[in-house]
Formats: sequence, C-alpha cells, structure tokens
Amino acid sequence: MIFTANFLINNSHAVIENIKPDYGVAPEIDGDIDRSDKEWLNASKENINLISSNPTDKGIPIEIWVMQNNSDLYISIQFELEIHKTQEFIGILISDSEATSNESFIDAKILQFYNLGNIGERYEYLDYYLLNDEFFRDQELHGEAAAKLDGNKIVYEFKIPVNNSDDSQDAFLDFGEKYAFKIIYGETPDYKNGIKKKNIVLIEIEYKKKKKENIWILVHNILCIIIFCGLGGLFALYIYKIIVIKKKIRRVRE
Amino acid sequence: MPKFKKEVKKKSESKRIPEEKLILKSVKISAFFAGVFLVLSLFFNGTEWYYEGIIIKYVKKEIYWEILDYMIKVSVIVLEFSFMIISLGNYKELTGKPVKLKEILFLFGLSLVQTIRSLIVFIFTLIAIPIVIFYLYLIQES
Repeated sequence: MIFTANFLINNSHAVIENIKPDYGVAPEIDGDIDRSDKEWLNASKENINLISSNPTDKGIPIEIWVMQNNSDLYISIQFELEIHKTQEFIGILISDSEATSNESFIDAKILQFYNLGNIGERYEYLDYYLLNDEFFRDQELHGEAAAKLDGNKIVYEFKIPVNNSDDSQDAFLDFGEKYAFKIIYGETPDYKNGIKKKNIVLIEIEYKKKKKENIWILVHNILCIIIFCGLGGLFALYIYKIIVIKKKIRRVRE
Repeated sequence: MPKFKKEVKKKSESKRIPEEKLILKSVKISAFFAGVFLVLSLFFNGTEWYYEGIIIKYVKKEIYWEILDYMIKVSVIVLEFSFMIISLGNYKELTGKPVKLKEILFLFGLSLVQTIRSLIVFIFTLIAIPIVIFYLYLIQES
C-alpha cells in the first residue's frame, strides 16, 4: 500500500517539488561531475520522476541538482536508462512565475544529443522562447549546457543566467522569486510533439547571500577559541589531578 | 592475639588496593573518552565545519541529514558530559568525597558553552543533560 501510494505520488502532477538552491562555487559545465574538485557540493538534490502521458509508462526517475551563485542558476539532471536512443534531449522550460499552466512557460533551454553512444556523437545547446506552447528559436543564445553519457548513466548540466537577461526572449529570473521549471525528456528534435516525459519543479531564486559582519564573525570565532581553549585547559588540569592521585595511591601502597 | 589482629589488617589492605586500582582505571578510561568527545565537540561545534555541517557537506543537503547532523552535535556534547561525570564521580570516590551539586552544575555549564554556535544544539543539550543526570541519579540510588 505504501509502495502504491509512493508510486502515485511520484507519478502525479499534484506534488510539485519545491527547491531552494544554495549558493555554491560555479561548476564547470562539461557534463562531468568532478567530485575531487567538489563540484556541485552545495547543490540541493531531489529525486523526481519524469512522467509520461501514458499511464502504463513508469516514467524515468531522475536526480535533479540545483545550485546558484550571484549570476547564474545551475541545474544538473542525472538518470540511467537501460538503452539510450541515438537521439535524446533534456529541456528545461521556464515559467514567468510559479504558474504551471502551459502558457506560463516562456523560455526553453534544451540540450539535444545526436548519435548518442555511437561514432559521431555530438550535442547541441538550444535556446528557445515559447509563445502559446509553440517553440521559437532565440535570436541570441543565452546560458550554457553540456552532457556526458557514462555507461547507462547520463549527466546533463545547465547554466541559466539569473537577474541579468535583457533579452525579451528569455525568462527573467529575479532574486527572491519562485519560478516553475518543467523538465522535459524526448528523443527526436521536435520540441512540442517530441516531448515524451516531463515533470515540474518549483525553484526559488535566493537573494545574494549577505556576508555576516566580519567583526561578528571575528568575535564569534574568538569566543569559540577561548571556550575550547578553556575547556582544554580544565581537562588538562583534571588529567594532572588524576596523575597526582595515582601517585598518592602508589605511595600509600608502598 | 596481636598476631591474629595483624593478619586481619593485612587482609583488609590487600582487598582495598585492587578496588582503588579498579576505580582509578575507570577514572582514566572515562576521562580518556571524555577527552575524545571533547575533541570531537571541538570539530563539530567549534570549528568552521559547524557552519555547513559535516554530514550535509559530504552526504546530502536534506532535512533528514540536517537532523542527523544536529543529533551528532548534541550527542557528542552529551557523551562528553556523561563520561566526564562518570570519571569525576569515580575520582571523588578515590578522594573519599561525594560529587557536589555545584560540581555537576559546573560540568553542565561547561557542556552548554560548547553550543555557542547554535540555539538548536543548545536547546537539545539543555534537555538531554538533565535526563543523563537524572538517569545517573537513579542508578546511584538503586
């Protein structure tokens, strides 16, 4: 019953994951998560299911990592498929608000693979804008994306500008606002009819982190040093007392 | 008669020495663990590791992991307190004096100051340590 409930939750549009990304060091957008370099270390990580309109289709369980800094929002989508088709794409449709209706999505960042897993494998990053659910190519390309297939696991990385797009063909992501992001999966580069699976997440673009007052940090750190040095000193005194009493016992024994 | 009395005295002394030895051993072992948890507390509650949370930093930033992170921070302080009070109790037994309330409160205070970086850790430590004291009191009574 729990399994069924979980399955239903994962496969319904009703539960929309709300993600609050943390600030972190910008990762290199190359489709590779370099753990030795602590890439995506501060990312908020969620598991969602890309669902199909076909109710018998189980969908694709994906891991979505979200992170941001002052200039960009970083989204990584990772999943495994038994067989990846030679053509595959992952797209991120961005709404102008929290609204999740089809008309609300105005911007699309897509990474399209060709000859995936074969000789001549290549991918293309595409920037589209949407009008009444129709896709139109942007005149200027904004953002960045890359992906890499490793065995059955594929890693997509997207970089989307925050608070700095003057292009009317792009969604303007403002600090402190929440936006709906629709993750789409498909194969052939037909971006309306080729969408096979999708799901929506809400991402809140966080304000620039105000750095704590340096003086307060300094006071806090000094207090910590004093406290733990004091504790260390008291502990050392206690150890000394144990040594003294040990000697006393030895003397009494003699 | 005097010979008999002397033998009795010797017997009681030879019985007392291993007992003291055992108590001293307990004092040392408990103090060692208290020291270990004090060092751990320094890392978890005193250094910059605190800010990100060692678990969250290396595992996953999720509420469950955050709870685990706080639990570790509180547990480290509570365990340090527990071992320290056991060690102190045994030490006091060696000196022949009981542990005074002000000494317990002093240790309690020393444990609480370790929570300087977080109100959550402070609150849970404030709850957990009296429970430990009460538990030790019950054991003492029984």
